[in-house]
Amino acid sequence: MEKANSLAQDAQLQMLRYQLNPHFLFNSMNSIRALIDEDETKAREMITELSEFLRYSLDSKDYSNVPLKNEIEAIQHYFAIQKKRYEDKLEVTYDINPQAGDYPVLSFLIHPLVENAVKYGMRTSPMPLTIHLKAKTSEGVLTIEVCNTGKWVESAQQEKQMYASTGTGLDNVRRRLENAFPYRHRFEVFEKEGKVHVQLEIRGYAGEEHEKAV
Amino acid sequence: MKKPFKALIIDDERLARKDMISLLSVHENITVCGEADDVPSAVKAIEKLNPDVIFLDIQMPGDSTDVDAHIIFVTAYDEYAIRAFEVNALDYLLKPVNPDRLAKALEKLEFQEQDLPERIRKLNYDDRLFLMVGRHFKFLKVDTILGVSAAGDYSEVLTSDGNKGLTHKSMKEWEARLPAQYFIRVHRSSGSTAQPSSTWNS
Repeated sequence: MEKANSLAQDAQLQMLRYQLNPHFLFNSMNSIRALIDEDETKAREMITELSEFLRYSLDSKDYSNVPLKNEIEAIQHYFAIQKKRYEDKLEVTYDINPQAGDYPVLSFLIHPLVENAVKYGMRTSPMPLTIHLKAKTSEGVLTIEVCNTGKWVESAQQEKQMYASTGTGLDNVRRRLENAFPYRHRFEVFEKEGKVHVQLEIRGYAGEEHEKAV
Repeated sequence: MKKPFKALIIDDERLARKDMISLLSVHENITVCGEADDVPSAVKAIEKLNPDVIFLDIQMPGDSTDVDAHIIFVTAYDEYAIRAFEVNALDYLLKPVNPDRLAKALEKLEFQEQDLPERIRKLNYDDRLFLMVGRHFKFLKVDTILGVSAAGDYSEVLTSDGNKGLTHKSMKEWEARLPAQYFIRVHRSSGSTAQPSSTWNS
């Protein structure tokens, strides 16, 4: 029981880490400071986007049952901020099927995937780093794909050494999927022709199960 | 009259470089001589411009110049996380950089420049050095260094993970900084090669 509690606490801390990544926050502030002199409009936009993103992060308390469209919206704010930071070094494209928007997912489930795409992509991709986010539903199956140019960085080992990070981004995603959608999901990462693909599939859903899923 | 310094700014984000340039602009003795946004252009700029001080974002893609310049890390990461793996930096600044904190770092630069021997301290086995080996920036853990051999004014480093390459450090500098019992000098006359001594496990 105690162990379960501590696991739940760990998961919650992990969530917080994703929601309020200080590294992302401070880098965004840094860009805004530089933009104030150069392009006030952009600086204002960036503050709006950052606020929206932070509000979403702080508000998503019930994180077991969130319509995908809310998640996507938060991701769009996130990318809008990153795009202003990295300028022509980052290209982001979307292919979101509107029907997929109501599919219930775990909050901040996809976020670590897009964060990784930026983090590792910036290190391994020729510039510009190109990220493509795809979501569709077909016969009760939700498919999400995050694809970025660059190489798959095997294990979080390097990350741990370089940045003293906990490096458990994907592990955390896997754990949450297993808890919430046991035997009903597929999670795959592969590299093909200079691109990293992270694919996530969730098959059918029953409301009740979502209630208990964390 | 403060001593003039040439500064190079290495960061992959243009806006971050811009912010740093603007912060430095109030310090009259600092001239920003160049900018670089990736490792190859950083290496080129260092070789061409020979800066006195480098402001470096640690995030810069993976691989490093054992330059004669002072290195000031500028990053949004927690200071202690960085300290843990890097010892030969002059200072660490956190983004967004606080102008007062930058002024302190620059004071340090001035002070260190006057008193060079102060900054040379002995390394421990678990220290990491930020070096340019060959044409790459690398973080080398001291205990992975298998050997150092003289190559003119420079030296060649060989590490246990197979890295090998020229660094700008002279044998004398290596001797001054590596743990005392780590290296012995052999062939003192012919090209002086340093190798781990037999006491290396003790």
